[in-house]
Amino acid sequence: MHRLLAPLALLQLAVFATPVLAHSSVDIGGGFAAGLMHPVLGWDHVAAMVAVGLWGAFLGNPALWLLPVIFPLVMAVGGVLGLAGVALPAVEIGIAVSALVLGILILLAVRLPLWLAGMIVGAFAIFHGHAHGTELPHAASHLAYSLGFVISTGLLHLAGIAFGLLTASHLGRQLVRGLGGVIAAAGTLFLIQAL
Amino acid sequence: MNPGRLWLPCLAAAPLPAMAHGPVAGIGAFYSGLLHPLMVPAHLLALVMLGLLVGQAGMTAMRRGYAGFLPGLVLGLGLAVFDWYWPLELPLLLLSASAGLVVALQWRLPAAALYTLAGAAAGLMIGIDSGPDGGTRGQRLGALLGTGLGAFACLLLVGDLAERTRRHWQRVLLRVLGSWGAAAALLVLALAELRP
Repeated sequence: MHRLLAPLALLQLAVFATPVLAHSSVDIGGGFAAGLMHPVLGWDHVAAMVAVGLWGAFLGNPALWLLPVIFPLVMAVGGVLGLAGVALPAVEIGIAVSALVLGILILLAVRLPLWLAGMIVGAFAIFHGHAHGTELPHAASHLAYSLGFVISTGLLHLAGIAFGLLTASHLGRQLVRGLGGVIAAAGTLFLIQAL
Repeated sequence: MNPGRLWLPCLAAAPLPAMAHGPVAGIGAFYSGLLHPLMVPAHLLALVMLGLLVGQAGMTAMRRGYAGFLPGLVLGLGLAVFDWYWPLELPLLLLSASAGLVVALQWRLPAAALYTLAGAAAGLMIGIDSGPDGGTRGQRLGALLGTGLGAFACLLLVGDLAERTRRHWQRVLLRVLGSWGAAAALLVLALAELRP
């Protein structure tokens, strides 16, 4: 029996061998899917991303499309800071505050000048990006992962914008403001958890 | 039992060949090459961002971009035939991030020649980075021919779609896509440079 062990082990290795693929489509797909799911699985991120879209819809053109363009770019800068190991104070609190503040702005239907709205959203994007940057895993395909979570973030904005388009009607406006209240309440909860 | 007798079944039972650049097994070298630009995220991102860049800027920029891309790609693939290889993912990402940023900000490059230069750089880098590993000379040439066609077709498609955008929301969509591409490329660049 002992004499059979070595050849059997060799046979097992051969049968269960997997191919060597530098550009494995499975890894790319897995990395993309993991990135796509990453923002969706964190409720604090989801609330803030949807709120950005909702508030953009409330503010109307050009904020409607400018905020979703600004957010990923500034979020990437935050991600670079996170990867560089630049410590940002109270990142989790910042993320929770982003949901709280954006929720209140929607609830109260606050219309700020574009430059100020851009600065507020950009500042929050730094916190979200920093958290993503420090959590970026050693995935098989970093680019597929990053593309996945940037697209997922953008789609959450889009969901907020789509819902925010209800502001065209009076009832829809009240509904959107109500959703802002829900987001603000969720933000308060996130803040209590983070403190 | 003589262990040596098991070598042959072991070799026969090895399920798949080792391939460094074969994205889909069993479809042949040409089709494997054709799909290669779509299966390598850095190549796909560079092609999409370059297509958005030239398409957003209009027909003249498209012509300039393609005029640089095609010779660059042919030269890069030619170098790949002779096993010239440099790791070019990071320069490609830098190009993608820059192109994405220009698209997101809806800038026009100050000189039309810059579109040619961007196209040439992208084509050259994608070509060099697409060298197939192993196989006969015929298979390698087939794979490279497929890669050339796949990459150029992808660029043409994205550029043409981007150029056809007329409505406001379509132009905004281009900018959003540019910002996504720039953000993803920037993050991976930072990851490569900053994380040990």
